[in-house]
Amino acid sequence: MAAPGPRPVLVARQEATAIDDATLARSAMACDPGAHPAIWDRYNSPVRRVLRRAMGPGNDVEDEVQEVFLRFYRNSALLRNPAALRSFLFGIAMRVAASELRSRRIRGWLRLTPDGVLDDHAAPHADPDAREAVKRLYAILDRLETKSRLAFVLHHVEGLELLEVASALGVSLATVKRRLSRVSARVWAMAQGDRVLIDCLDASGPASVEKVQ
Amino acid sequence: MTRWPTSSPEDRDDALDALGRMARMHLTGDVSPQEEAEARRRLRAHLAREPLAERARRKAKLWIGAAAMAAVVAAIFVGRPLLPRPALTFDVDVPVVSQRDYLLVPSTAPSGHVTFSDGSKLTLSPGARGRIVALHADGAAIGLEDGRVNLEVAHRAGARWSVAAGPFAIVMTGAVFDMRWSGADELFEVDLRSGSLTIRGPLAASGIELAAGQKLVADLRAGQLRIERVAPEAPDDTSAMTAPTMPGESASWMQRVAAGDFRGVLADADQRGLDNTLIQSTLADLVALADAARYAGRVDVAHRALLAQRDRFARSSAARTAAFLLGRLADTSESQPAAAIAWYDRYLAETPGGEFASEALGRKLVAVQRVSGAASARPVAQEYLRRFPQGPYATKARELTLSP
Repeated sequence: MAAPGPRPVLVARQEATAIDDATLARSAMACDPGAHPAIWDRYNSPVRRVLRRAMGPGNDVEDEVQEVFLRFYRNSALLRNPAALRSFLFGIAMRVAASELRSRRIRGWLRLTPDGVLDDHAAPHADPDAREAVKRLYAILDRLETKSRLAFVLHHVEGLELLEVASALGVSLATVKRRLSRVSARVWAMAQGDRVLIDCLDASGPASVEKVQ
Repeated sequence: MTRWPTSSPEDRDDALDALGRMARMHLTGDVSPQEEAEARRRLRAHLAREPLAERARRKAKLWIGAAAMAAVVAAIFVGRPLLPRPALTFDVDVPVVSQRDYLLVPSTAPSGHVTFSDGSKLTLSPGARGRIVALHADGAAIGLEDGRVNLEVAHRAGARWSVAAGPFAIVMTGAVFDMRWSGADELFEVDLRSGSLTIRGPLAASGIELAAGQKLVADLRAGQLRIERVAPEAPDDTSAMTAPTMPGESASWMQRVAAGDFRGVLADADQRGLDNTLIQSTLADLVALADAARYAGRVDVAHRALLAQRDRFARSSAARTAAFLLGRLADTSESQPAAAIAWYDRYLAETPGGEFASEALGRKLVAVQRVSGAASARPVAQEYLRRFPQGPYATKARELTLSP
């Protein structure tokens, strides 16, 4: 039997924080056994966060987090630009979220908690008015088509730049711009009819308010 | 109409960004170390089965397609999934005295057995009492009030089981173990025969993973925790899961702390330079370092590692737990009850419903009595009884409220 060829190996003692994304991704593509745990350590929290923001309050996302990393494990060889590990994972997360959102919509499962209260993943010391506003914002997003919802969440909630949104959704920059323009107008039209959202917005935006006055 | 300027698309986007920021603040990626460890364990189990699952998927492709079609039709016409998974059920054998979900074996009777519908078994020794707190499709949550039990959790994909005993919590997917909790002695023991599990609680705030053949003993009164190695009763079926997929974990500080290699972790930190370690380490390594230092009695290192968690990862749940642990250090190892009270207060303010809330308030009660006397401690005792009438410090609190 031929001796196995050399392959890149993550040095176990090397701090994972000292390793850049490209090296981590290349190690995963080369089936280095240390790569996947390190990627999990670095990205399980950001992936969980973006999934929670995509799915909305009251929706458990642990199964989706598992699915994202399983898909990454199966498809890491398809990663063309190792430095884009984060975008690649976010792209998988968006596909998983889209699939789950469609599925939950069909089954009527996409909803807030039964009592309308955010779950315990919400930030500590959360302002009750802001919690209510978040709940209402997601009630609006629940009425959107999945693709538009995800574009809105990635740009306005997650705070990604347009190019990053395009990369995560696997579409062109022009498509993202068109999609965001339409969905932003629609969300804003619905938000203006919601007293709680508007009050919360006014309370949170003194700088802009001063600009008007 | 809002006072926000919305005359242009840019103004409108600013307003939507403000709403988005609000959502961003409320929907974080934070989970407790216990939940993170459970998620990691689940992934490891999934990955261990991956090659088999891949083959099975290819073989069953046509059947899955047909089933998916049937599910779509059912979802459209019936409005719910074809096969909802029912929660587990359980049967109780004599001599377990069971009232709804409460279980008790008289101290004069032989051991009693509870059998779950997935094949898992709970055996209660004479005198043991507890409760089936919750049943779901993937497992159950059990509360042990006092006594000794044996739990054999049938290993299944996606299984989720937990046992709470006093301030401790155990989570597992499949394991066979004996455990004992004595509220009177504040003594907790877990003897793991096969499988693996994670234990969290006082002295193990970041979670300790036990492997087959290990026994954990936590003596809360003495403030001691030790892990002993005992011979496993049977070969560990589940240990094979970890080897092919995540062997890199074996070298992590967390794993080494779980294996009792506290001094090895501290030596590593010293070799790297403690200052650099505290500045550069990941949160997981800082948590492991703090644990190793606490177990090895290096109070100064533990103190600095806990402070580093709070400074560098201020929004993490570990940082909040660090406040409690800093209180315990000040209380038990540094003889600074006033500082301990301040840390307990901070923990209670940051995490009012946290898993150590009862412990923090109880310890604060004792510290306040020590520093300022019984009269000052009485309001704390009243608050403790209001919030934790069955808690481990309830007797002490009652004594204080009744004293003249």
